[in-house]
Amino acid sequence: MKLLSRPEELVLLAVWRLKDNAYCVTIRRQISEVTGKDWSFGAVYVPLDRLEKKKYISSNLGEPTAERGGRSKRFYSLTPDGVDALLKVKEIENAMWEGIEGLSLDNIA
Amino acid sequence: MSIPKKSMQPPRIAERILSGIFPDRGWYTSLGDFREEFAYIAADRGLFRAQLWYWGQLLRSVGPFLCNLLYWSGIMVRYAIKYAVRILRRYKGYSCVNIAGLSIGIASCLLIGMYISFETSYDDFHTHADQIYRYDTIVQDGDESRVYDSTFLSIGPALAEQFPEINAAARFYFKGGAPVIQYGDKRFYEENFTFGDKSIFDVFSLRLIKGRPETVFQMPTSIVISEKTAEKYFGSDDPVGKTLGYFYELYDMTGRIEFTVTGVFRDIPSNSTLKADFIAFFDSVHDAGVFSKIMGEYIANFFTTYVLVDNTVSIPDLEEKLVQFNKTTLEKTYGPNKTGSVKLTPLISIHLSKPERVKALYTFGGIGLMILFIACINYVNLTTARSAHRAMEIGIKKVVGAKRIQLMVQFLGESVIIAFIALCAALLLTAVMLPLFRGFLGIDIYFVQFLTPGNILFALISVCCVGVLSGSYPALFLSAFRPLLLMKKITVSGRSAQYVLRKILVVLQFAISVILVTATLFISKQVKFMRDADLDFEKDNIIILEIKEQDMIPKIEVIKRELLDHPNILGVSATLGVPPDLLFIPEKARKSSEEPSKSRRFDLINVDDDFITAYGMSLQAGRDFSPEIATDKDNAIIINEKAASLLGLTDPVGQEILLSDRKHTIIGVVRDFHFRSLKNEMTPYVLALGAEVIHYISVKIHPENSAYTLEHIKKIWDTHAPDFPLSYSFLDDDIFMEYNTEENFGKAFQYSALLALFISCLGLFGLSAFLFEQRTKEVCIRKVLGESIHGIIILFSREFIKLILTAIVIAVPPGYLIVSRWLQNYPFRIEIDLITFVFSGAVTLVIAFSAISYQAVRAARSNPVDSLRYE
Repeated sequence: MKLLSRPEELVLLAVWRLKDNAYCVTIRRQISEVTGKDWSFGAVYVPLDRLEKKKYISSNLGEPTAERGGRSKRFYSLTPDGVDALLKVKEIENAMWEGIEGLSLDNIA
Repeated sequence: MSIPKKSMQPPRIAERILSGIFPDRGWYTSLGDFREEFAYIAADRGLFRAQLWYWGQLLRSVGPFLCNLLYWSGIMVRYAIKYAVRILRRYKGYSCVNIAGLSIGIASCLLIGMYISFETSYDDFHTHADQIYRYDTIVQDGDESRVYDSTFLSIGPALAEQFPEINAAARFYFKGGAPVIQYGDKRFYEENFTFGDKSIFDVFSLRLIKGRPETVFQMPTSIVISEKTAEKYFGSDDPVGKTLGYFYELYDMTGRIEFTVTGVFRDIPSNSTLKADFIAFFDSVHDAGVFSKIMGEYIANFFTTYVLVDNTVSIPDLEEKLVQFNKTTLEKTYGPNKTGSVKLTPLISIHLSKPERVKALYTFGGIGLMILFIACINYVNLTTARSAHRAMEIGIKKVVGAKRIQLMVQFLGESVIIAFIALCAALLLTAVMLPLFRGFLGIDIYFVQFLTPGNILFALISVCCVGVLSGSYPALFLSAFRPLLLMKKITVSGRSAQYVLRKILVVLQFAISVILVTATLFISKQVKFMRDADLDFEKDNIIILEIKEQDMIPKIEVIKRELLDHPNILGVSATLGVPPDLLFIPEKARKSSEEPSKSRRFDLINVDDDFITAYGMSLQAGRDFSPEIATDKDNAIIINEKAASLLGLTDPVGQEILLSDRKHTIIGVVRDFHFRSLKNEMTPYVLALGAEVIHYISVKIHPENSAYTLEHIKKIWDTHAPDFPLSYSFLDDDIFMEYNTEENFGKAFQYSALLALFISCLGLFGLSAFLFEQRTKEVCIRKVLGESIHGIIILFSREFIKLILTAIVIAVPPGYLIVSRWLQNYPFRIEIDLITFVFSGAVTLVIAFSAISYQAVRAARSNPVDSLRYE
């Protein structure tokens, strides 16, 4: 199985955190806040599409609202596969980090 | 949450663009996302920042969007090509017919295009081509004004000196006729011999391979020659420093100048008005006193003068100044009563200033386009006819979701691909045909010189256009089918629009072909008529000897006598001019009782007393010139009937008329004769004795053993003129050649008619193949029921024959108009008869029928079982 990319991982985590309110705007805001960088919509759409294609998330359309100019929101939610993939990444990361101590900038010099 | 105010909405245009490039599977949730974020930013940081953000988002997505688009359309093109190639392979016959027709059409267009670009590119190889003008003089002589493309000797240098706006002026002196040039034992008549100023190198872009422009013309007897001439005379030796002997004769002066070669220039391209293989330094003859001698006797305005004008100058203003200048200069030289005007003719316009050249360009351009049009018709017809085969394919594609535009792109793509394959084939064909074409037109055009980026781009674009044009009808037509009808295999019925269109196109094709065939027939008839016409003198068995050296003139009587001693020589006449390009002296003729203002122009031909017999002209009244009657030399004239009728004389013999105010007695009248080609009206001629200047000897020989007679003439010639090789021709050949232009024109028509007919038949061949294929079952059932083979052939050909007959009928009026317009150019012309139309129609019909009948026979002879058992 292919590993998740970092944006994909972030997006999946954001979807998980946002629970029932996970749609593009909120996901983007969440990630931007956490990383401290302004993520463009494109940067969120692409991993979302890719994840949906991989069946890690599923989406459904909400009711159209006036503030969105009569457009629906598309809500995303994690599938079991998605949860699985996240756990797998976490596991690998943990394994990679294990036993590494004293990793700091001082040690490099 | 309240509804946001209108002003809080994102910019409309940006939103539209976004929805266009990002349809998001039609849900547009992303648009909603953007709008929500926009509102958020607007509330947080103000409307302006929000709008900035929105546009920024949009701009950022443009690049990736374009990349994506290119990538996918690339894939689409790849599929279109793949598909087109598959279709081409699948229907080999159709593809061949299509490509063959189109490539022949394109090839003929290419050839004609080359010809046109050659003709229009005259003289543009000079660096300052658009600043070079020829100084033309208009001389006012009474009421008549004559335009000369040359001017007086002193004008050239004065121009460069007195006018700051003229950067340089160069004079040329082209002596008529071809002088003899000699090097060692090599001796040739050279046609492209000219004298030129030093400044020719400033005005024209002549590239010297040997020698430098500043130094080649230092001695008066310098000469520069072209590369190919150097090769001809000196082979691989270095020509510089070699001497060339030049024999000249100017009026009554003859002589020989030894020229020293000081330079070699690169051959002048054939699309040049200036044609020169030898350019001798102007001062050579000038110094020899030749020109100044002429100046004393004649107003010598035969110096072709080109000026290089500064590019900031307005030409009309300059011309105005030049008129004044011309007047004062001439008054100084020739006295006050010569008036005249000046015209500056742009060098690049000189070649196409002859209307017949422009007409020829338009004619051939039109023919080229017509042939291409016929080829395009083939494509349209075959593709629409084939549509039934592809109905299923289109139907399925539509059902699966192909949009109409995609299908159109596919068909257009196919036809563009076919056009490109045809272009490649056409290029090959052109390369093969070019040598023939070159010989035919007598012009030097090479493939390589047309391979400029501009031309290649033009060719590619026009091929795309041809592809799109010929594919657009099928594309529109095929993509409009309703899928259901297609799937149910309801093919288009016989009465549908496309069927009618196809018929019209076939009629159009054949009508054009018939017009071309008819025009060809009439042109060749007219040429034959002019060549075979009775000219009222005997043009056969006359040999024309050209006299190049006036030293021979005193010996002429001896030569004449010696020639006449031979039993096979029936007559000898020595004259200034011979047919068909006759040297004549224009004279103003009137009766002594008439006012000078009533005089009319007659052409006076100087002859000798043997002329009328040698040329077998028939005297209607009076007598021939006679050596015994002394007064004949002074004032006896013989006129032709036209002259007599213009004078209004019923019994002209013995009457006196005034020729330029000198009295002459008419001693005889000859039947009207056509000394000039039949392209000219009958001219009133006056024959008079005159033997001071003689250029030709006409020898009437017995038709038998002409080779021996010629041998004899040569022997006599060589004893009297050892320095000048005998140059002779047969009069009937010379007259025959007068109509070469017409013959070539006719040939060009002939080829285009053949091509048009061939392409049309090719189309018909393909079309009939398809239609018979569609009706195979019908044919088989008819056969089974007892129809005979030729019955079937007739049944199926009838429809096509009807079309072609219509085409023939339609072609008659425009054909008649075109032919009669063309014949207007000829005062002596053939009648436009119906027979020729019928004949060309019949030829077309037979050829077309043979194209159909192959398919018809094949269909009729097929075994019914083969096609019926699949049902």
